Amino acid sequence: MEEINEKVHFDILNFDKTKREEWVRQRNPFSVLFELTPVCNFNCIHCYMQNTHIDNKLSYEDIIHIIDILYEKGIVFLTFTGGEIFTRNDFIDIYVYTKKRGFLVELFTNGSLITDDIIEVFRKYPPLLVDISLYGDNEETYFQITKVNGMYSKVVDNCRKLTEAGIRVALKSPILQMTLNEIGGMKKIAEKIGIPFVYSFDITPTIDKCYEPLNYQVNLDVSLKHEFNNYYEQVYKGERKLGEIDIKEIDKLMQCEYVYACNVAKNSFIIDYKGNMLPCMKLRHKGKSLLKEPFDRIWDEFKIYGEIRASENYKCKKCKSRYFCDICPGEMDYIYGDAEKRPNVVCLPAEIRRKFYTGEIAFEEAIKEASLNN
Amino acid sequence: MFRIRENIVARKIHNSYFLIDIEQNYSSDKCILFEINEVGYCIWKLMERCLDIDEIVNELYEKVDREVDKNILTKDVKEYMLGLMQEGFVE
Repeated sequence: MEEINEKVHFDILNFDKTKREEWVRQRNPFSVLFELTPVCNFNCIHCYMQNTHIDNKLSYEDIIHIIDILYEKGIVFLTFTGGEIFTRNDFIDIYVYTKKRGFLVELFTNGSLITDDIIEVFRKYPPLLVDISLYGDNEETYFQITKVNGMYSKVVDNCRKLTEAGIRVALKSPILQMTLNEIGGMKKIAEKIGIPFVYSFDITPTIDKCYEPLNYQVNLDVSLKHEFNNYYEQVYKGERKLGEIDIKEIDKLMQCEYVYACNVAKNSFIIDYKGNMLPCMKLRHKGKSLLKEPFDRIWDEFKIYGEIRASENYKCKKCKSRYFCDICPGEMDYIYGDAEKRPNVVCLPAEIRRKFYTGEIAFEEAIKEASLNN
Repeated sequence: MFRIRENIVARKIHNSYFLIDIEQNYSSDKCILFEINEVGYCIWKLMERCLDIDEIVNELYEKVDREVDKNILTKDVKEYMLGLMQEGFVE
């Protein structure tokens, strides 16, 4: 399903579209997300790695070795993430090495540790995008979430400096209860600097299965209210048509015989902070060490995820709400040890969405249904 | 003699070949990968060794299977390099 808020529009890979389609068809990997470090200078209350901000597991040599493998295997897009990437003293060395090998590099960061020296390196070797996480529109909220003082103004200032240096920057925010009323404020910050801003209500448990972050998650009725209001706004602006849904795609998903209907391990994968190759972020427990095993063998093994046929009892099979659902079988596998597990509560948002977007129920009724199940 | 600009990298990506400007700043939200063919990639690799046109033509001539007129090959290589210069990849 499409994202509900502003997207970063980017016309990339300015070559024949058939080339990309060919790579997709042949299952050639071309995009990787690489966790360079679990270390972070923030201690965010909602972070899925909040209990994992330990020492670096990967040495500089390990990272360069992995990057060389990615180079040989034809990876084009490489996104660096953490933890916080700029906590690594050798980050700029890694970054310049990667750029000189011809990767298109994107950076996920909290934006607080970007110095003028770093900006100078970026002027010479621009990243494709610096994607900065924003945690509110004032210092107080920032501290509440990150547990570090003085970071709001620093981050906003760095966004401005990067943009003035001609670097592409975007802002994103995971909305928590304490930032719900600051979405407007964060939008204004982005508008003032002249950069895109997207937000999401999706909060996940930690990678060591602690559910503490979910305590800060916004209630379902509130998140759906935002989603549906955004939809109306897009309709008003002419970006979407009221009641228009992708029937073809809905039917396709209803007919899908597989557990994983997504693009898991088709053209992308993850490298975690230990050097494990993962089919996707939600299948962290299925990682294989790229430092110990050959890439081709791991990539071949990951093919299975797109080929796992659903059992007759699979709830998602023939589910008319599947198109509107954002539940991940990988996450279910991680939490319950069963990719097909679907507690009733996880199906509710998709059902409400389906009924709203198809016009079966009106806005108020949809929100009321969601509120009864908070 | 044509010289490769140091901000241009040639990569083989899944049986295709591209020239990538590592200093491009993606202005107007555009990112360009310039596709070349296998021969073009081969010529680029020879240029990386700082060979002049005659040396490049000689190396290529040794590699091709079929009968090729060396004069035509030289003309083609020069044309290709002029094209690269026009695109800003060599100087």
